[in-house]
Amino acid sequence: MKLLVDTLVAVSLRQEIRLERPDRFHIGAISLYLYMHNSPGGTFKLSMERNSLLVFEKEFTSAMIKASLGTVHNYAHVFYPIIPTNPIQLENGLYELVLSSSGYAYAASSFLGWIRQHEDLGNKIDYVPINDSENPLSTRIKILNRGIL
Amino acid sequence: MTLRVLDFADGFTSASAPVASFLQPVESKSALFTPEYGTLYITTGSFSIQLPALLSGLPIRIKKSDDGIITVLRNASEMIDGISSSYTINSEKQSIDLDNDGTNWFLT
Repeated sequence: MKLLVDTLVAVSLRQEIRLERPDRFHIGAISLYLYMHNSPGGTFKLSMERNSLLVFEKEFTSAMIKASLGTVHNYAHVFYPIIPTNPIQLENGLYELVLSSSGYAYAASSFLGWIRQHEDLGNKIDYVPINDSENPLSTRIKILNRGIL
Repeated sequence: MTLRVLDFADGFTSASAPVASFLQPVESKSALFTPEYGTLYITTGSFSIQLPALLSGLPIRIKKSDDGIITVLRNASEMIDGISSSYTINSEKQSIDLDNDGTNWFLT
């Protein structure tokens, strides 16, 4: 299969996402559709912001991605679930997901990427991409059922 | 934005690297910005471009759409094509590719 990978190079990767629910809700996990190329070193961080204010952040590594897949392979694409320690309660609105890094150096032989997809089962886009590079960075958000909180 | 198109074999993991090709995004600019690697920028008017930190691999491509003057500002003290100063793109509709070796910039 073909994957369109936006590579984490020198700047963060950012994706706006508008959450629309009938009521306040709790997020159990945010899954980024990541591509891991030769298990890059360093630490990666997903941050969720609203109006440039931090809502949530959590770090992960390529070793954690491999562990989640139960593989020894160094190349993988996966909706990697980033699970907050405690469920995050949010309200409707526009948020921004930011993928950044520390201690990571991009190299053509080893890098992390975030996959762009036009067709996303979980989210719809509110614009018309003029080419594939304008496709959104693919993301899935797990909303917790209220009954278990 | 540095985009790759990867032809990944069946399954979600692989022991070897998939075949990759690059997709070059194109953006229009008319005011100061910091370019990203692997992108073609179409400029309109006169303004400056602030180069990012050196990272060898993919070029930054700049194409002027008019007779504006583009000033390419260094990120730090690196040289641009052997010169320790900003680089100015003067000619009408001129284009340049900027590559680097991790230490200095080169016009290619």
